[in-house]
Amino acid sequence: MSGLEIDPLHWAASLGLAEIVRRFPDDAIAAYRDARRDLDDLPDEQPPELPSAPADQPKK
Amino acid sequence: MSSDIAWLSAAELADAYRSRKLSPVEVVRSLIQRMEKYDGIVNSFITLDSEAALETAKLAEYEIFHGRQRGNLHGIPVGLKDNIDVAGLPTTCHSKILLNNLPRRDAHVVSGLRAAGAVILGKQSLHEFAFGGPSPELPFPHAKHPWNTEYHPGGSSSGSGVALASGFTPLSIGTDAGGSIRNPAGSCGLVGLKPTYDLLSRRGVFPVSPSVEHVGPMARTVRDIAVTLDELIQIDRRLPETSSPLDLKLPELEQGVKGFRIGFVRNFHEEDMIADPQLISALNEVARTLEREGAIVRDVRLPRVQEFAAVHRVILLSEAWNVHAPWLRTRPGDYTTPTRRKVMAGAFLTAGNLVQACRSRDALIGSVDAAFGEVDVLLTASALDPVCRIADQAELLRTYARHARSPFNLTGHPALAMMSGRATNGLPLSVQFVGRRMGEATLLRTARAYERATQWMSTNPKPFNA
Repeated sequence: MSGLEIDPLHWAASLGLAEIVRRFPDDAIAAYRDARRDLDDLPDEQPPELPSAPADQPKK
Repeated sequence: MSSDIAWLSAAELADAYRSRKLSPVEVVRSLIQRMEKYDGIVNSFITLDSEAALETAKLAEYEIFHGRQRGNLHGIPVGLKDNIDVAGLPTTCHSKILLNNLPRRDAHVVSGLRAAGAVILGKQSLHEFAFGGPSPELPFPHAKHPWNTEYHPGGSSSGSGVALASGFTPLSIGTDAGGSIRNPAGSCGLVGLKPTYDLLSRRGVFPVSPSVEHVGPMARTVRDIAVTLDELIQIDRRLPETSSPLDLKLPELEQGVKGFRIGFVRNFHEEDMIADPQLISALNEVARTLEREGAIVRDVRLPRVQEFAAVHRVILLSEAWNVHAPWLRTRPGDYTTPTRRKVMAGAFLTAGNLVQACRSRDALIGSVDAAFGEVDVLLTASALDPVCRIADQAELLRTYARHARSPFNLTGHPALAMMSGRATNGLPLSVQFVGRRMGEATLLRTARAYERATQWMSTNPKPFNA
């Protein structure tokens, strides 16, 4: 699994895909690489800024 | 006469019924005989429902010839992609997973077609679950290009396109989550429309990815696309829950593009993913043709096509994983290898990835809407490569992701693909026109003006005619 940051087979097994891991491990690895490639191409849209917490809570 | 019937458009058939030059029974019988003789060569249909089609044709004939023609689709044969439910016919999605799936209700679009009096011929082959591709592991043989069976007809609505280009039906209904109507339409020398998102209901269509999936018509002429969409909208208008404000303005379809502002999106195919020179040349000629017809063509820049594609795929794969996870866990061997790999990619995407993609989608929609502030229609590439050989797996894989169709699945704008010339391999090149949301009237008028000016499709080969 050199070059991969996580083990896709372990990830797949944790999602209940044990049969795929056993019978079609190449498919699982190919699917993982496809997903990573899409994420690499995803535009870097920033999340909206959260409102900052007020410095002093109003007294009740 | 039978070979002539095969190539008549839906509009020509409706006229022939009105004047009693042809009858629905004669037409349906002729098309069924043609399919029985030749479909084994191109594999466009999975289920041919001959008996029910002839019964419907008989009823249509009686009504039309007794002065009760319901509209332009009455007695017109239509084929359906086999992910669209017809009560009592299997919906297999071309997969071993659903071989025993027998729906009890018609899909919404099928109810509409029946109300219009159309004749359902049967269910057409597709890429497995509208996802995979040609594979020997499929339960039914994959469709082949009728102009040259060594070539890929495009997908995923493969059989729907092949049936039209083979003269088996004048109309097909396909689905399009990432270009699946427009790809086979462009590849087979046809017209395919992905309407505005949600214009045609997806109820009763097996889901690929509901937020990017569309139902739409495929035909051999722009007029048939316009007439079919109009009939389905008119029928929906009678139902309060599906009422549509869209007016296709059919009487204006022939009025040309004089004064229309066309935005030519060059960056998709000239910078982002450089298209085959034959396609670049054909697209430039489309722009010049529209200018000669009186349109004002100017360049418009959209975000990189790779950005649209990545956002589209993260959403599509996340939603598809949600649908397929149970079967991937229990029946993974019943998928073909291409489908298993594609669908499983969604397992490796997180909720955070999906949220990021949805946020990016909003920004991309904004960029396309902004372009429509300056133009009426966009002109873009559809495919970026000529049609490839079906046995060439490497070329199939290389070209699979090279297209400019998915941006408009993501944004929901209506998009139409049609033929724009012929490549050196003799097969069609394509172009895509995109309209404002609910701007189908202007979009179809543009496509019709281009069709009339070029006559590409009227010179297409007629397979199986001696």
